[in-house]
Amino acid sequence: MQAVIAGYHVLPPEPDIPMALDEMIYTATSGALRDAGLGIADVSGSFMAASDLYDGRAISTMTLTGSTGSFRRNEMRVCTDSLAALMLAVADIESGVSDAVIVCTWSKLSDADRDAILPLGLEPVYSRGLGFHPGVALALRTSAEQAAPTRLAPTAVRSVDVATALILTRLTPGRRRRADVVGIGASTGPYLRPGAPVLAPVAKAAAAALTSAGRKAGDVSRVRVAGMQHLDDAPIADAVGVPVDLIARRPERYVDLGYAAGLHALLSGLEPPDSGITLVIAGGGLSMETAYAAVVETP
Amino acid sequence: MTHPTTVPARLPGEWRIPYQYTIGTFASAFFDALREQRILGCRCGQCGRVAVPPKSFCEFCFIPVEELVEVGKEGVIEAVTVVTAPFAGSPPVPYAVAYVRPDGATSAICNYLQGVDLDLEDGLNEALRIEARVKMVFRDDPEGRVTDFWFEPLSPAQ
Repeated sequence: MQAVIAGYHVLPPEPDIPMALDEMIYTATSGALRDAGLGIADVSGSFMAASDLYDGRAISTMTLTGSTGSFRRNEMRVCTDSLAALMLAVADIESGVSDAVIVCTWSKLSDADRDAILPLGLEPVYSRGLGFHPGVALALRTSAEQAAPTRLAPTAVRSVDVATALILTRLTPGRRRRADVVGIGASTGPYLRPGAPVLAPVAKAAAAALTSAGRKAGDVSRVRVAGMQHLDDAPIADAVGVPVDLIARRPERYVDLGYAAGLHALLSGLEPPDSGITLVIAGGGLSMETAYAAVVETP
Repeated sequence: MTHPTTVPARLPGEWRIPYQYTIGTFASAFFDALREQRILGCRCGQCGRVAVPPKSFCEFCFIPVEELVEVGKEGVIEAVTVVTAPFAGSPPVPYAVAYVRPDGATSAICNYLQGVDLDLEDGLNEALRIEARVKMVFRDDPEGRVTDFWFEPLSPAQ
């Protein structure tokens, strides 16, 4: 597998970026094209990750087509972490369907009320009806894993606005090559099962990504963690099979990047470029029921 | 008991989510101009298209746009529909909604079309034909909202 990140642009996370959402996205996508040395006519579509709840727009990609670069082109959006959008883009490149595509993701929490949004992720009748905080789901799942009571302490997670884009291309001589995506993986685990590790999906996704890259955990130079604010580095390192000092989080652990977290973690390893092999891992759902991973190498 | 015999129930629920949408400088200028009963668009420096409402970039050329321009208060209908199906929050039916391309613009903007008899039994009013000319009519006390104006047909003499 070899899909190339030819260019990228990150609108740095800020609590309140004073731009309309489509302007934020355009800044990211046009900046990524410029960085790749390509124009909009060179790409055949856009793969994106976003949350309608975070955007305040139903089927937000339809109202943001102009800025995502998908106007009169292919577009596909996932409503989960942006590493899943990257996976679709890699498949598009690897299958030969496309020569170059945009992958973009965003979050605009300054427009929204995070406290009002998060409970909507809960099941409506049995869970939301109880009115509990969504963090309870992860605490309960941890309790089931450990066969012991858990305590859910308050965690201050900072809301930010962010828009991020990269240009993924086929390996082509003479074209810019910031990094190679050499492996991808995903997993979805059971919601809650006594004794089942919370991080089983994370472990499985990471293993799948490493396998598809032809690598082992011991080959990894660092693990960039996206989201998963409520989980410490040590259990994540254990799940992935690396020493804890290889765990890297940037910009910081307690920030809510929404579905942009995965791509943001990946691109944070390019400025300055990570050396060696980087594993990027993103956990999703209320209690890490899903996970996505990518293996990236800088040439 | 081999199967449930009770009537399936429904439990009440609702999503109430407040938002404060950041609209950016171009859209802000558009709504400011509405207070002065003017319609603003933006002109792409590369392709020359004039988009209404204005955006800070051209969707066709994918380059930043810097020029705001005022477009005409008359235009032509690009698409129109007469709504007879009521929907939550909609005006009383029947009502007409149209996309109108203002003079000087290359894109169209949507709003209500008023001043047309929508109750004709033998078909739609001639004023609703595509490319029919219409004018923008502003309320006396515009407040910088899309509801500050609507479309009305131009009379044949005009």
